[in-house]
Amino acid sequence: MIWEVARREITTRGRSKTYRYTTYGLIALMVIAVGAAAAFGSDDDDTTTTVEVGLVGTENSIELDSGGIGEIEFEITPLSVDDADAAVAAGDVEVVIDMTAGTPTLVWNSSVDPFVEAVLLDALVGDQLTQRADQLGIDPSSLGQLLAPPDVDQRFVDPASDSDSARTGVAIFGVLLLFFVIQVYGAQIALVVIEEKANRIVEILLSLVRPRTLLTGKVIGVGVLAALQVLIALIGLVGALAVSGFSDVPVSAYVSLPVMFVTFVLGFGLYGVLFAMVGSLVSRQEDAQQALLPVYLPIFAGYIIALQAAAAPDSPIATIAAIVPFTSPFVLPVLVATGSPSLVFVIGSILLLVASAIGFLVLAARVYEFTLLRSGSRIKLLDALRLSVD
Amino acid sequence: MPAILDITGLQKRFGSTVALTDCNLTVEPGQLVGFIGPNGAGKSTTMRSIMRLVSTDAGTISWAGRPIADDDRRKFGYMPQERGLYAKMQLHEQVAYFGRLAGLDAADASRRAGELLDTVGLSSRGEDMVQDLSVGNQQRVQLAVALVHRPELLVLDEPFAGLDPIAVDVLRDVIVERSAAGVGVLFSSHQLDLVQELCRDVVVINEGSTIASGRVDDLRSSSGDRILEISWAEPSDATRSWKPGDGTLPDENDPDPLTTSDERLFRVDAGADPADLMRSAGAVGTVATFRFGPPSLDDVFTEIVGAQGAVR
Repeated sequence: MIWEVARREITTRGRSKTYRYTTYGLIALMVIAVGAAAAFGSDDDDTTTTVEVGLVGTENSIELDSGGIGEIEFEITPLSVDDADAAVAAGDVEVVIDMTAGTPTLVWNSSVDPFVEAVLLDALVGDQLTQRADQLGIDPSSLGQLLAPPDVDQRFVDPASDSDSARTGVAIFGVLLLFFVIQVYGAQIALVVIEEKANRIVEILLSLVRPRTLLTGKVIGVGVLAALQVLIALIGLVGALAVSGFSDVPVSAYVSLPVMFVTFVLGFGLYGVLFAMVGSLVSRQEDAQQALLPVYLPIFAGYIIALQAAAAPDSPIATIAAIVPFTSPFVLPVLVATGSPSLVFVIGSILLLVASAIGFLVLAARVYEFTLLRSGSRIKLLDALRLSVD
Repeated sequence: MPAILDITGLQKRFGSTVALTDCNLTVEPGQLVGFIGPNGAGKSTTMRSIMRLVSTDAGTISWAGRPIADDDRRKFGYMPQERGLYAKMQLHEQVAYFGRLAGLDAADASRRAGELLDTVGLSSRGEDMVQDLSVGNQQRVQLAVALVHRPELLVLDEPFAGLDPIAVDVLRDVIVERSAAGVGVLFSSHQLDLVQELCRDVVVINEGSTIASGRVDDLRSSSGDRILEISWAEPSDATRSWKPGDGTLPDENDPDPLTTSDERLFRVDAGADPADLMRSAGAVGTVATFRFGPPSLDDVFTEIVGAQGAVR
């Protein structure tokens, strides 16, 4: 029966305009992101910037080798002294190298492009050195040996791991995703419950299935729809990273993924149940936001603590928040990513989260029984809890 | 035939509000039982208790001779007083969905949905959304939902409320047909003429307690009054001023609202002799129509509930 309830949510809500359009929008966004990454971010991209350079005061051409820096290519145009300033002012050339005084003078229009300046100076120095070496009878290979940097080895007492920041980054991405998904889809679960209560269909539903079955089916159904959109977002992200050349994220960055997956599912389950329970307290959608506030608060708390835990994973607040079921779905993956908690700690926290999710499912089902058939003004959460345990 | 549903001594309080104090009723297979009572008497609470939507404080609800179990509910078809359907779901899909929830496999549920939409006259609208139907047609869908899983008991809370005469006919035919097929039916209604017409048996509840139950005919006959309807072939001042004799008349000589049509209506003592009344009426003119019988269920209901209030 759980699957029947879940399937109805998936098929009817999945076919709704809102869900379809947001999914299409997401797909379009991801296609654009991958396309943009392919166009602008690829490693194989051999586009080079050509800088027009004017040359004044010498019959000889000069060798400007950018040395591959920034993939800049110089195109040199010989100019007369009289034309030089006009060419710069008109933008025909970016800069003019004026050799009339013997030593080069760079002529810019109104401001210096620091990047071009750096590359150009480097190239001019190289050109000057080559000319001087030639005048001194030094062959180019000897000059290369002369100017070659000495070999210097380096040693680290506490080397930083390349994957540290990547691991934390992946964990924070997961926290952000959970924060977004729980808010958006959790609220949807509440609205589904309110809708069924408002149109009284819940009386027939509860005559056929147990409240717990109904509740679980709804959380799973909406969860599947959420998972589909998350999957689209992840595929788009991975695709964009792959085609843009940022595919060298170390494998160890994904060490927290299994924990993140477990806490994501359990966290969504726990909060989904809470949203459903609180949704059953109201009879009108207008009252939903106010009623849902107590559920939003721990979500925000978990999110903020998780972000702080990324910077200070050993803080007492992070440790406690990784154990408390309301915040652990956010904080635990971050701690795992930073490598600070023991295996026993992780398993204990997850077991506590499982127990809480089941406990709240049972409690919510009881509250559901007492509140779903009551219409009219909003029922206070404490009253509902008191009734359900009486 | 043994009762398939047996409710004994049901009690329920909602905080300080007493909903049920001593509700008792039985339903046999194929029996059509009318469940009547004034507003707030406890009819809906009793029906919700049967469907396990409300937990009771005391009393027993038995199904087939044993305490009712959760799975038994799937043998019941339920139509709550406050109707509810998914507004943005197609009719066929919706009926089939409830069939699957009640335990039918997908193919059977779909087949049953088609059959029932045909039965309630909505076969051509299977792909329409519920929100596109009139209230009466939504009620037909509601009945289809209650019937989709071939229930052994139908619990219908005010099924005729708000229906037009055609929809009432459709609903009535379906209920009678199900009853004839062996399904026990318990339905509440304020339309007591319909209850009298449809039901052989009735249960009267007031202030949470069953105050009368049994065959409708027996209940009506148990009244201390009889209703006399009479008209004369040639109405005259004498027929218009005729009264059914000294001593046999109650104080209230209820004139029928349609007295102007020359048909007279009297409430007389149950001990009155119809032959004496006929002779007395014949003395003032030629009697065209003469009906003498127990009061309607409506009258008996008012009598019973009113008497209980007077005693209190």
